[in-house]
Amino acid sequence: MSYGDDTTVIARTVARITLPLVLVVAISLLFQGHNLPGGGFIAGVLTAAAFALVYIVFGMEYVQETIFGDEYEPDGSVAGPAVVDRYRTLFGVGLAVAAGTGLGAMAFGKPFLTHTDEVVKPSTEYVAWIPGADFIFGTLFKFHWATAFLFDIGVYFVVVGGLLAILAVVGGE
Amino acid sequence: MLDAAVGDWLSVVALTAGPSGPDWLVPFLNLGLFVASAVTLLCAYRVVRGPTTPDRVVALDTIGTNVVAIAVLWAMIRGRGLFVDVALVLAIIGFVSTIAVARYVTEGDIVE
Amino acid sequence: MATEQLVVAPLLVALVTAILTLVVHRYVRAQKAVSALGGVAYVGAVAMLIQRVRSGAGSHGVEGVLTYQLSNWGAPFGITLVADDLSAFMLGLTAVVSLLALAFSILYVDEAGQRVSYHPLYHFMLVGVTGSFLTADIFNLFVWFEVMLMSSYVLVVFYSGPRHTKAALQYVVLNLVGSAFMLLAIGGLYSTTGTLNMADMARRLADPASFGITLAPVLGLSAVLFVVFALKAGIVPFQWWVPAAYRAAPAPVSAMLAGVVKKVGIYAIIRLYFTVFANAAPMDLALPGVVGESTLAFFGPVLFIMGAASIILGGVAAVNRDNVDDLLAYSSIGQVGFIVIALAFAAGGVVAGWQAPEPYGSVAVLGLAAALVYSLNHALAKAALFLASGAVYESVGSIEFEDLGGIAGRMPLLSAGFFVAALSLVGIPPLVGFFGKFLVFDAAVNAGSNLGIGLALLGAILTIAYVTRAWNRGFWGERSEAVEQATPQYGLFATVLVLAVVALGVGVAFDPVVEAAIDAANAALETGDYIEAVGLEDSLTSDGGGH
Repeated sequence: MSYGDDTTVIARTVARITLPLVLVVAISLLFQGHNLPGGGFIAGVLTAAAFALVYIVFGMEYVQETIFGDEYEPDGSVAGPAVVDRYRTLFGVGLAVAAGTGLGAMAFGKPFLTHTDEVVKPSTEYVAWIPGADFIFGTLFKFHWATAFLFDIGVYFVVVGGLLAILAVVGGE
Repeated sequence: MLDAAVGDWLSVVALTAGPSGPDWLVPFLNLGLFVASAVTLLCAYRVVRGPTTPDRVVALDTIGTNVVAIAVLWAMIRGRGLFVDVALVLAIIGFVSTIAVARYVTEGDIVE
Repeated sequence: MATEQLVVAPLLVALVTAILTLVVHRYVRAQKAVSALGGVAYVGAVAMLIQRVRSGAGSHGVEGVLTYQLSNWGAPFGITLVADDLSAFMLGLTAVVSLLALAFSILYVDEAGQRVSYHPLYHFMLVGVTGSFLTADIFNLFVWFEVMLMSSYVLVVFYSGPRHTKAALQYVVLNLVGSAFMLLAIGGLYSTTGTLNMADMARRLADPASFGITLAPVLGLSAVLFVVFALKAGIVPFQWWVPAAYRAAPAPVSAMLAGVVKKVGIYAIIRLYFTVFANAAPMDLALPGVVGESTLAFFGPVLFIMGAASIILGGVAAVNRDNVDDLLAYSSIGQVGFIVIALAFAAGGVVAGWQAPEPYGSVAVLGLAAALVYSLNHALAKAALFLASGAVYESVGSIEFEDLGGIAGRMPLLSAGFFVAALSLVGIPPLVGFFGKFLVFDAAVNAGSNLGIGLALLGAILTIAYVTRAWNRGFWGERSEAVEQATPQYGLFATVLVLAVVALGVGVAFDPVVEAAIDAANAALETGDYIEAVGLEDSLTSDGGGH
């Protein structure tokens, strides 16, 4: 059998097209989070929204059986479907990552949650003869890394894990 | 040269420069803001009055679309790209919630 | 550097424990072990911090006030944590109660319950409490309140029966409304004073002209904030959520709520009203019946009236309850009343400058010390009693007085623990409760408040009445059928006994405790030290706040 038999072909087609777009927006917001509006929280919300779309259009069974490979049995217990356990673990791991970045600063003798960042540009000394070297190596390959991004990833996992656990438990009842 | 040109192009795309577009556009943008806001208020009336659930759903969806429009117009007026992000996120959430509500209205439950 | 990190240590220990218990949630035994280890480590961290603060270490040349800038941002902008004698006192109280309540929960909460996130929630609640005690940023205080409350929402509804859900719904709605008001008041204070840092706020309030601040809204905003803290502390007329919530929550959670979470409200009142708002420049209150130009001239009478009402209402209502938890819940309303009238005397002392004999020096210090010692007493005794109630429930299967009787002969260990804790609540020497009551009376006498003395006496008599009734109905008399068939849970009894012994020990070795309380009171009143220790960056704040 196929999944989502009871939804219209329009809904299924639109969901297939929209899903990657939503996820791309989520990821881009996650990546720009440390120096532009965005960040782990809103990226997590959008990712959860993408999952919600799949839940609505294709059903909970689809997510559980095809993505996670779990047996699906709607039992309505307190703990909810089996997949909730995975989400809770994700939630815990996310918290651990977020707190870990804060603790990492303490290992360097800095206060809790201190973050650092740096802009790395490859040297154009030996490639100056290439046309547009400044642009290629100074702009395109310029890389701005920040430890705050790790914190954002932690927040992202927390939000995704938390929201999906809620969705799965409420949806399973 | 190339560097600066591409930078300018990028900033136009991302709407991070000052008020973007030519001057004559600004009154039209303001007019657009006015219309979108007025329509939002009219939809609010439909949300309150109903009388049926589908009426309210459609009205709420229209409000969502209008808020997206307002965010984009605002982004153009202020030349700030971040409002486009806001519009994008609002549009996505609005889309998912409309699907959810539509399913609730037709099927009686959201997640099967 | 190492000593500075100590300030944040209790917070981090609780946070890391919460996260680890979450990560290992599939393995119930590992979770229990991590949770217990975390509880012990928390006590260790708090003990080290207290030792450090008491030994006179300090930041920016101020002895006994350690500060810590989270994320390395400068003082008025970044979040500051401050560990002074007041914070240390409250943390010490928290550490003792939390460890024993945790030990109790490990034995008490069943397998299914342990799996449904009991331990992570418990430790997150501890994170919230610790953060509230340490923070020197008023918005951050709101955040920690929320961390604490969100965990407590789930813990109150933990058994998820109809009665628990009803109680929890009431608790959640009430606290959400309270949080909304708190946020409103904080926003107002920010727009009025231009800062969220408590030390900066105190400094700006003291010199409103040069920072371009109008003082008039501060009184109203602080009154809104006061309502929120009174709600958290469960003072009349904001007490009605208390009995239902305490009855619904598992016994160790009730012990934490009554023993520790309520004290967060008390601590916030002391910290904000005595350290920050009392530092404001004299202002014309222009309120009928209020004499004085300090915000405390307004809050003193308010505290007194609310405390008096709490003592009477809590005491009278506790006398004729049908079960142990209800009695303890109403009793805790009355007992918090004692703390609050001590605060009222202290407020009067600050406004009028009343003197008191050494070692206190002033009624302000005496009143605050009385409130703190009483808080300690209430935390230890009430936590022990709630745990005892839980132990009775686990052993006998009921806490209704009609099912109980003759526990003393059947379970002497539990009865001894209950007895000692009850005596501490009544105030019998040499238990800590005696000193608590004594200091409250002392403050009333030195404040020259006959009404206060009368009230405290009435409260003491009511305490004796309901404690005696609980003892007579539950522990003495003929053994009921349920008690006869009870299966004693000795592990649970041990935690009750340990708390009772701590109450006794604190009473016997009272000198260091009262010294700590007096130092804490002084720390609360010496705003100058607080401001100096935080080390505000002047170059960034000189442009003034306001509008």
